[in-house]
Amino acid sequence: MTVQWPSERKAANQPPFANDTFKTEADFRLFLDVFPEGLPTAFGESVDWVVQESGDVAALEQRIAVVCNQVNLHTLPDSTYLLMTLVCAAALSQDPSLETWKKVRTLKSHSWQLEHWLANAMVAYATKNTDARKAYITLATIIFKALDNCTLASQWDRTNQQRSQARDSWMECQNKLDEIWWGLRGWDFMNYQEEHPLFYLLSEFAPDEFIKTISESGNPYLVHSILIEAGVGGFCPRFSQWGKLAIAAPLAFEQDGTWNGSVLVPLLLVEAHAQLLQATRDIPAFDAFSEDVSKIKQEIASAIESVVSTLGARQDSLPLYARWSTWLMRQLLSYSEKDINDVCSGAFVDDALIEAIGRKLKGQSTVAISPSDAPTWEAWCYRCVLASHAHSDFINPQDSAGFLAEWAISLDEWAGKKGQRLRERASLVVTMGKETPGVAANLLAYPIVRSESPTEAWIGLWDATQTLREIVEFGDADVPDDEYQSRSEAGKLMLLVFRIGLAIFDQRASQCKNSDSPQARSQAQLHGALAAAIREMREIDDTLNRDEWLGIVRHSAVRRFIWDEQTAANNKPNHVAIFHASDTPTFSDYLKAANSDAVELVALVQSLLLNDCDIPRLDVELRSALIDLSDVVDMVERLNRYSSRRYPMDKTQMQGIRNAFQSLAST
Amino acid sequence: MSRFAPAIEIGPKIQRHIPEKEILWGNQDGDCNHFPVGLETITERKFSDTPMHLKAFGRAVSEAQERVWIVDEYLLMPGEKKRDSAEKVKQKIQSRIATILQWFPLTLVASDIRFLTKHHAEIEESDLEQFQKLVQDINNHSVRRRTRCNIEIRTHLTQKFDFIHDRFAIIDDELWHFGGTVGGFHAKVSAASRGWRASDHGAIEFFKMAWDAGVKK
Repeated sequence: MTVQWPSERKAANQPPFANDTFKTEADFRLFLDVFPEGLPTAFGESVDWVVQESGDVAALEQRIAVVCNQVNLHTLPDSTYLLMTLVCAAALSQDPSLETWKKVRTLKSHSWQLEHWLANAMVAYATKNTDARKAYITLATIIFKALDNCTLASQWDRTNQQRSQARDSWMECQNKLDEIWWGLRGWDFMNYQEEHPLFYLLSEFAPDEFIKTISESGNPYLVHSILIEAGVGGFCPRFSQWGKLAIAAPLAFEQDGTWNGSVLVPLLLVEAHAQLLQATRDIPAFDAFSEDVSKIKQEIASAIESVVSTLGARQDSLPLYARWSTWLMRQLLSYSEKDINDVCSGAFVDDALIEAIGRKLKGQSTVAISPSDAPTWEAWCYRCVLASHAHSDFINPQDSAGFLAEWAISLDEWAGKKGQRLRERASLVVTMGKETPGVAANLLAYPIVRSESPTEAWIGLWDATQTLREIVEFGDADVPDDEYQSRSEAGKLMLLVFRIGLAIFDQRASQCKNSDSPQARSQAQLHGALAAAIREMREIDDTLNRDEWLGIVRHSAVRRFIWDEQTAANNKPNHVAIFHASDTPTFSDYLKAANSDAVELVALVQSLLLNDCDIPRLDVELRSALIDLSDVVDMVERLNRYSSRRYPMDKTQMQGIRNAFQSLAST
Repeated sequence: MSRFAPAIEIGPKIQRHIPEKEILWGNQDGDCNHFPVGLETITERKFSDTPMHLKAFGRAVSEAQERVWIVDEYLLMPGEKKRDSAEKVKQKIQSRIATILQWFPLTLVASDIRFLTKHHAEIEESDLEQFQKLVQDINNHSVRRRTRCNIEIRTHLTQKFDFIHDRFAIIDDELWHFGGTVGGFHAKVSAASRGWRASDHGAIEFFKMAWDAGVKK
């Protein structure tokens, strides 16, 4: 079966859109058939006029009217404009030069018909005239080079300005590959629209010459515009065209992952990604039929497989996979786990692409680390990529020693190169995550989980971040004016360290057979260390991170409750026993700590209910901590009446808590 | 990517009550919920050197419990008139900043104050330092404050994030939309609306995106 983009298949299944005002190549061929003896002499004179003199479009129309009279074409609809367009096509064939192109371009900018019909007229003219075909290929190459070296300007000042701004910003851009991954933000491919017909022809008539020509350009804006016209993207994307270019495009990456500056391959990857994302947008946001959703999922999966397999044929496929999947991971990290499984979300495509790439890496030697030309954010994103592949059993997990060592910095190093590198590498991860522990923390934790002693590794990591905690507490002595900023920044890094610890705990939970197993004892030790970390951070961090730590207490408490041996004894499904009743902190310790804050206590109970907790056991715990939940709920309601702004309350949630415990009392 | 571990949920953050939706126009008495009446009222405001801000907005800021986030190119830069001397412009900036400072009482509960604006050469470092002085005063005022108050001003609008036409403010969970300057300082007829739940309209994520496009001033 022919591989197609999902949108391409969808378009192919729809009835053709017929509009007589747009003349096709077939229309022109039929028109040319009216002259079995060849075009009249007056036609040739008009062609000469365009090449040698030219002028405004009205003058050309007058000349064409004369030709129509000579050969009595008035009965044919649109004959004047068809003939006029063919005159221009013939002129370009007769003299494939920059000068003639400029003349034709001026004419077409004043005629709707010329503007929209020229490309098809040229194709039709070339099918009847082999010299014309060669001439058009020469002309397109000349024009491309003139655009590339800026010797051919647009007729419009605004377009010239935009081209020039784009070129300047490209020259100044520090991370050029990022700019391509971002999809050349702010660029409009129509800025090279005047020359589009020529590039369409070049891609159709001489694909090899087309690839050779555009490969030589370092101007991503120009190449992007031409790719759209060549059917790689835009309104009529074709997978076949994309595939041909993806195979034939020159090498873009060195074996260590370094990008050599060639813009074609990254642009093709961006286009493939855009096509895959487009498929997800075809799903209705509400009430989509499950058959439609699974069909689209299949289409996406099949297109992804084709994309990754096509790229696999390239000599630079491994470094290409490494750099592209790093970018895909960057996008993925801004989503939640729920988004990743939602076919309507962009994360679904990113994740599926990373998985497909991972499958291709089985048994291959992967790029070990981000190359030196990569921007700082890539290091940890690539680490996440490798962790994801390892989690899917495509490769072995990478060593954690280097990652853990990055966190060990002294006070002097915080403001220096090492501290700056740590902040820069972590900056994306700490700002993007929406969940606790979240996708990024889980990925960063995975190699640690697979190490020999994960609990000790995390405790070692926490201990190594003593400097960061000092900065959280006292600020950076070297930047006294911006103490808050340093404290907040260091606090965010500590949050990430904690989340990694929580992710280690969660990932290992399922490995525990019973609370006496060595794994369970190690987990209990980790939980103790995590709880101590929370206590410490709540003492020292009074920046905006404080609320995050409050939420984290709930995370820790819920885990202590649901993985207790008593919960497992009550036969709650999926609840393995990790904690002995005596493991500290106990759940009762969490309750006692929250007891002074009615709002927090309610939030904790609500969190337990959300996780389908063992309510009778919770009731026992509350009673043993001398907490009357009904009083607590009353207190929250009273506070809310006092100031709903200061003490917001969810009435449904309150009712849910009351109902849960009332039904318990009635049984 | 297969799941790493079973998902453990904690209760979502409780949303605050949002006031009824309302549209307000600035006038020299503070604010009103209809267009200004009569040309005299309109011209009085237009030619005033210190157009009165929306009192309702100032009140909402002073009562904020969590956050005050403002996106406005001209928040700190009053409208100039052609005849204004440099001294006059300076005075206007001082007056604008003084008014904004008054929105934040020492008893302010909110801790997360962010202004996203654009760079104006007329506004000097010393003008902005007044906000840091205010933060110190707020933090010193209440010994038992849970979270330290922080006011951060970023000036990369237009330079690094040139996509916003309108002006917005998010106070706790409520989104305010302004036709003119945030706070209703605009001298010409200009309205603001309030009562929108910020999370329902993606305002918080949008603000974060605009905010993260630049770095701290």
